[in-house]
Amino acid sequence: MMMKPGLRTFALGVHIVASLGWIGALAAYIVLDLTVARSADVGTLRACYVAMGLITTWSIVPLAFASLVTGLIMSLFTKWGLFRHYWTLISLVLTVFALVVLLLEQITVAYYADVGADPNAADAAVQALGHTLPHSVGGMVVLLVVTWLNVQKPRGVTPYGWRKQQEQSARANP
Amino acid sequence: MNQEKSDLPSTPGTPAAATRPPTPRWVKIFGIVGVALLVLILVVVVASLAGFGGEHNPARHLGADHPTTATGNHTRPADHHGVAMVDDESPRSDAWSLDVPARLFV
Repeated sequence: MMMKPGLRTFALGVHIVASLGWIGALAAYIVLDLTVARSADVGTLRACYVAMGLITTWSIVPLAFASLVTGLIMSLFTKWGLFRHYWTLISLVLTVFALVVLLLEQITVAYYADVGADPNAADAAVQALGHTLPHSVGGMVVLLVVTWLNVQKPRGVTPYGWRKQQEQSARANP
Repeated sequence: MNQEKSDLPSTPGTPAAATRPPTPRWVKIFGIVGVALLVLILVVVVASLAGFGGEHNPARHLGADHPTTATGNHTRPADHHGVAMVDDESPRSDAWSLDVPARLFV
Protein backbone atom coordinates (compact mmCIF):
# COMPACT_ATOMS: atom_id res chain seq x y z
CA MET A 1 0.00 0.00 0.00
CA MET A 2 1.43 3.33 -1.08
CA MET A 3 0.92 6.62 0.75
CA LYS A 4 -0.70 9.55 -1.00
CA PRO A 5 1.78 12.27 -2.01
CA GLY A 6 0.63 14.75 0.66
CA LEU A 7 0.81 12.18 3.44
CA ARG A 8 4.14 10.94 2.15
CA THR A 9 5.58 14.46 2.26
CA PHE A 10 4.31 14.94 5.81
CA ALA A 11 5.74 11.60 6.95
CA LEU A 12 9.06 12.37 5.27
CA GLY A 13 9.20 15.72 7.05
CA VAL A 14 8.55 14.10 10.42
CA HIS A 15 11.20 11.48 9.70
CA ILE A 16 13.80 14.09 8.75
CA VAL A 17 13.03 16.22 11.82
CA ALA A 18 13.24 13.20 14.14
CA SER A 19 16.44 11.86 12.60
CA LEU A 20 18.30 15.15 12.45
CA GLY A 21 16.91 16.04 15.89
CA TRP A 22 18.49 12.83 17.18
CA ILE A 23 21.83 13.90 15.73
CA GLY A 24 21.49 17.42 17.14
CA ALA A 25 20.60 16.18 20.62
CA LEU A 26 23.50 13.76 20.50
CA ALA A 27 25.83 16.60 19.49
CA ALA A 28 24.75 18.55 22.58
CA TYR A 29 25.25 15.41 24.69
CA ILE A 30 28.77 14.92 23.33
CA VAL A 31 29.70 18.46 24.39
CA LEU A 32 28.67 17.59 27.96
CA ASP A 33 30.36 14.20 27.70
CA LEU A 34 33.62 15.87 26.66
CA THR A 35 33.27 18.29 29.56
CA VAL A 36 32.93 15.55 32.18
CA ALA A 37 35.87 13.73 30.62
CA ARG A 38 38.11 16.79 31.00
CA SER A 39 36.80 18.66 34.04
CA ALA A 40 37.55 18.02 37.71
CA ASP A 41 35.29 20.77 39.08
CA VAL A 42 32.52 19.15 41.10
CA GLY A 43 29.94 21.82 40.30
CA THR A 44 30.56 21.46 36.59
CA LEU A 45 30.45 17.68 36.82
CA ARG A 46 27.16 17.65 38.73
CA ALA A 47 25.54 20.05 36.27
CA CYS A 48 26.78 18.10 33.27
CA TYR A 49 25.67 14.72 34.60
CA VAL A 50 22.18 16.04 35.35
CA ALA A 51 21.96 17.66 31.91
CA MET A 52 23.20 14.47 30.24
CA GLY A 53 20.46 12.50 31.99
CA LEU A 54 17.77 14.96 30.95
CA ILE A 55 18.93 15.15 27.34
CA THR A 56 19.10 11.38 27.07
CA THR A 57 15.75 10.67 28.69
CA TRP A 58 13.69 13.46 27.17
CA SER A 59 15.37 14.15 23.87
CA ILE A 60 17.69 11.47 22.50
CA VAL A 61 15.64 8.38 23.34
CA PRO A 62 12.25 9.77 22.16
CA LEU A 63 13.80 11.11 18.96
CA ALA A 64 15.53 7.77 18.36
CA PHE A 65 12.25 5.90 18.63
CA ALA A 66 10.51 8.50 16.45
CA SER A 67 13.24 8.17 13.85
CA LEU A 68 12.96 4.39 13.78
CA VAL A 69 9.15 4.36 13.61
CA THR A 70 8.89 7.03 10.92
CA GLY A 71 11.67 5.31 9.00
CA LEU A 72 9.74 2.05 9.08
CA ILE A 73 6.61 3.86 7.89
CA MET A 74 8.51 5.58 5.09
CA SER A 75 9.95 2.25 3.98
CA LEU A 76 6.85 0.12 4.19
CA PHE A 77 4.43 2.56 2.58
CA THR A 78 6.57 3.87 -0.27
CA LYS A 79 8.13 2.23 -3.31
CA TRP A 80 11.40 1.66 -1.45
CA GLY A 81 10.27 -1.14 0.82
CA LEU A 82 12.12 -2.35 3.87
CA PHE A 83 14.19 -5.19 2.42
CA ARG A 84 14.27 -4.38 -1.29
CA HIS A 85 17.23 -2.04 -1.40
CA TYR A 86 20.55 -2.44 0.35
CA TRP A 87 20.56 1.15 1.59
CA THR A 88 17.21 0.79 3.38
CA LEU A 89 18.20 -2.56 4.85
CA ILE A 90 21.56 -1.30 6.12
CA SER A 91 19.94 1.87 7.47
CA LEU A 92 17.46 -0.25 9.41
CA VAL A 93 20.16 -2.53 10.86
CA LEU A 94 22.36 0.41 11.90
CA THR A 95 19.45 2.33 13.42
CA VAL A 96 18.28 -0.65 15.46
CA PHE A 97 21.86 -1.31 16.59
CA ALA A 98 22.30 2.33 17.65
CA LEU A 99 18.98 2.25 19.51
CA VAL A 100 19.85 -0.92 21.42
CA VAL A 101 23.24 0.48 22.49
CA LEU A 102 21.53 3.74 23.44
CA LEU A 103 18.99 1.99 25.66
CA LEU A 104 21.75 0.03 27.40
CA GLU A 105 23.83 3.17 27.85
CA GLN A 106 20.83 5.10 29.17
CA ILE A 107 20.94 3.01 32.34
CA THR A 108 24.48 4.19 33.05
CA VAL A 109 23.71 7.81 32.14
CA ALA A 110 20.64 7.80 34.39
CA TYR A 111 22.75 6.54 37.26
CA TYR A 112 25.40 9.19 36.69
CA ALA A 113 22.67 11.86 36.62
CA ASP A 114 21.16 10.52 39.81
CA VAL A 115 24.50 10.63 41.61
CA GLY A 116 25.22 14.09 40.22
CA ALA A 117 21.88 15.43 41.45
CA ASP A 118 22.12 13.84 44.88
CA PRO A 119 23.31 16.31 47.55
CA ASN A 120 24.29 13.38 49.76
CA ALA A 121 26.72 12.06 47.19
CA ALA A 122 30.28 12.92 48.14
CA ASP A 123 32.30 15.11 45.81
CA ALA A 124 34.81 12.29 45.44
CA ALA A 125 32.01 9.98 44.35
CA VAL A 126 30.92 12.44 41.67
CA GLN A 127 34.48 12.88 40.47
CA ALA A 128 34.89 9.11 40.30
CA LEU A 129 32.08 8.79 37.76
CA GLY A 130 33.16 8.27 34.20
CA HIS A 131 32.19 9.41 30.75
CA THR A 132 30.49 7.70 27.85
CA LEU A 133 32.52 9.07 24.96
CA PRO A 134 33.12 5.76 23.11
CA HIS A 135 29.38 5.18 22.92
CA SER A 136 28.34 8.75 22.18
CA VAL A 137 30.97 9.41 19.52
CA GLY A 138 30.48 5.94 18.05
CA GLY A 139 26.75 6.58 17.94
CA MET A 140 27.32 9.85 16.12
CA VAL A 141 29.42 8.07 13.49
CA VAL A 142 26.69 5.48 12.97
CA LEU A 143 24.01 8.17 12.63
CA LEU A 144 26.09 10.12 10.12
CA VAL A 145 26.56 6.97 8.06
CA VAL A 146 22.80 6.35 8.10
CA THR A 147 22.19 9.96 7.09
CA TRP A 148 24.62 9.61 4.19
CA LEU A 149 22.83 6.45 3.04
CA ASN A 150 19.45 8.19 3.20
CA VAL A 151 20.65 11.22 1.25
CA GLN A 152 22.71 9.35 -1.32
CA LYS A 153 20.43 6.33 -1.76
CA PRO A 154 23.19 4.28 -3.39
CA ARG A 155 21.91 1.82 -5.98
CA GLY A 156 21.62 -1.88 -5.41
CA VAL A 157 18.66 -4.17 -4.89
CA THR A 158 18.68 -7.17 -2.62
CA PRO A 159 17.87 -10.63 -3.99
CA TYR A 160 14.41 -10.23 -2.46
CA GLY A 161 13.97 -6.84 -4.08
CA TRP A 162 15.12 -8.18 -7.42
CA ARG A 163 12.56 -11.01 -7.29
CA LYS A 164 9.82 -8.51 -6.44
CA GLN A 165 10.83 -6.32 -9.35
CA GLN A 166 10.72 -9.30 -11.68
CA GLU A 167 7.25 -10.24 -10.45
CA GLN A 168 5.95 -6.69 -10.89
CA SER A 169 7.52 -6.45 -14.31
CA ALA A 170 5.97 -9.76 -15.36
CA ARG A 171 2.53 -8.61 -14.20
CA ALA A 172 2.90 -5.30 -16.04
CA ASN A 173 4.04 -7.01 -19.26
CA PRO A 174 2.34 -10.40 -19.44
CA MET B 1 16.65 9.98 -10.59
CA ASN B 2 19.30 8.01 -12.40
CA GLN B 3 20.02 5.89 -9.36
CA GLU B 4 16.42 4.86 -9.12
CA LYS B 5 16.30 4.04 -12.82
CA SER B 6 19.40 1.95 -12.50
CA ASP B 7 17.57 -0.29 -10.04
CA LEU B 8 14.65 -0.89 -12.32
CA PRO B 9 14.42 -4.41 -13.78
CA SER B 10 15.14 -5.16 -17.37
CA THR B 11 12.34 -5.91 -19.78
CA PRO B 12 11.20 -9.53 -19.45
CA GLY B 13 12.35 -11.68 -22.29
CA THR B 14 15.68 -9.99 -22.63
CA PRO B 15 18.77 -11.90 -21.55
CA ALA B 16 19.51 -9.46 -18.71
CA ALA B 17 16.11 -10.08 -17.15
CA ALA B 18 17.02 -13.61 -16.11
CA THR B 19 20.23 -12.74 -14.30
CA ARG B 20 20.31 -10.93 -11.02
CA PRO B 21 22.67 -7.94 -10.94
CA PRO B 22 25.80 -8.49 -8.83
CA THR B 23 26.06 -7.10 -5.31
CA PRO B 24 27.33 -3.51 -5.53
CA ARG B 25 30.86 -2.84 -4.40
CA TRP B 26 29.79 -0.36 -1.71
CA VAL B 27 27.68 -3.09 -0.07
CA LYS B 28 30.68 -5.43 -0.01
CA ILE B 29 32.80 -2.69 1.57
CA PHE B 30 30.08 -2.02 4.14
CA GLY B 31 29.93 -5.72 4.91
CA ILE B 32 33.68 -6.09 5.36
CA VAL B 33 33.94 -2.99 7.56
CA GLY B 34 30.87 -4.04 9.56
CA VAL B 35 32.18 -7.55 10.20
CA ALA B 36 35.59 -6.16 11.16
CA LEU B 37 34.00 -3.74 13.65
CA LEU B 38 31.82 -6.49 15.11
CA VAL B 39 34.86 -8.71 15.61
CA LEU B 40 36.70 -5.80 17.24
CA ILE B 41 33.77 -5.15 19.58
CA LEU B 42 33.58 -8.85 20.45
CA VAL B 43 37.30 -8.93 21.21
CA VAL B 44 36.97 -5.90 23.49
CA VAL B 45 33.96 -7.41 25.27
CA VAL B 46 35.61 -10.79 25.71
CA ALA B 47 38.81 -9.13 26.92
CA SER B 48 36.81 -7.10 29.42
CA LEU B 49 34.97 -10.16 30.68
CA ALA B 50 38.28 -11.98 31.00
CA GLY B 51 39.65 -9.19 33.14
CA PHE B 52 41.77 -7.37 30.59
CA GLY B 53 41.20 -3.75 29.69
CA GLY B 54 39.00 -2.65 32.57
CA GLU B 55 35.34 -3.18 33.33
CA HIS B 56 33.83 -2.00 30.09
CA ASN B 57 31.32 -4.48 28.73
CA PRO B 58 27.56 -4.56 28.16
CA ALA B 59 27.00 -6.40 31.44
CA ARG B 60 28.01 -3.30 33.37
CA HIS B 61 24.68 -1.74 32.43
CA LEU B 62 22.60 -4.58 33.77
CA GLY B 63 24.08 -6.32 36.77
CA ALA B 64 24.54 -5.32 40.36
CA ASP B 65 28.25 -4.97 39.69
CA HIS B 66 27.84 -1.53 38.24
CA PRO B 67 31.29 0.07 38.46
CA THR B 68 29.93 3.28 39.92
CA THR B 69 28.28 1.55 42.86
CA ALA B 70 31.67 1.62 44.50
CA THR B 71 31.61 5.40 44.65
CA GLY B 72 30.51 6.32 48.13
CA ASN B 73 27.27 5.32 49.82
CA HIS B 74 24.98 6.39 47.04
CA THR B 75 21.88 4.27 46.57
CA ARG B 76 20.96 2.75 43.25
CA PRO B 77 18.60 4.85 41.08
CA ALA B 78 15.74 2.40 41.56
CA ASP B 79 15.89 2.95 45.33
CA HIS B 80 15.99 6.70 45.15
CA HIS B 81 12.61 8.41 45.31
CA GLY B 82 13.32 11.79 46.86
CA VAL B 83 13.69 15.15 45.16
CA ALA B 84 17.34 15.69 44.43
CA MET B 85 19.02 19.08 44.63
CA VAL B 86 22.44 20.27 43.68
CA ASP B 87 24.86 20.13 46.56
CA ASP B 88 24.48 23.27 48.66
CA GLU B 89 28.24 23.53 48.85
CA SER B 90 28.51 23.74 45.11
CA PRO B 91 29.88 27.10 43.95
CA ARG B 92 27.05 27.32 41.42
CA SER B 93 24.24 26.78 43.95
CA ASP B 94 23.94 30.50 44.70
CA ALA B 95 23.26 31.35 41.10
CA TRP B 96 20.86 28.59 40.26
CA SER B 97 19.56 25.31 41.50
CA LEU B 98 18.28 22.20 39.83
CA ASP B 99 15.10 20.67 41.10
CA VAL B 100 15.05 17.35 39.35
CA PRO B 101 12.80 14.50 40.45
CA ALA B 102 15.04 11.47 40.52
CA ARG B 103 12.27 9.31 39.15
CA LEU B 104 12.87 10.94 35.77
CA PHE B 105 16.04 8.99 35.48
CA VAL B 106 14.78 5.62 36.55
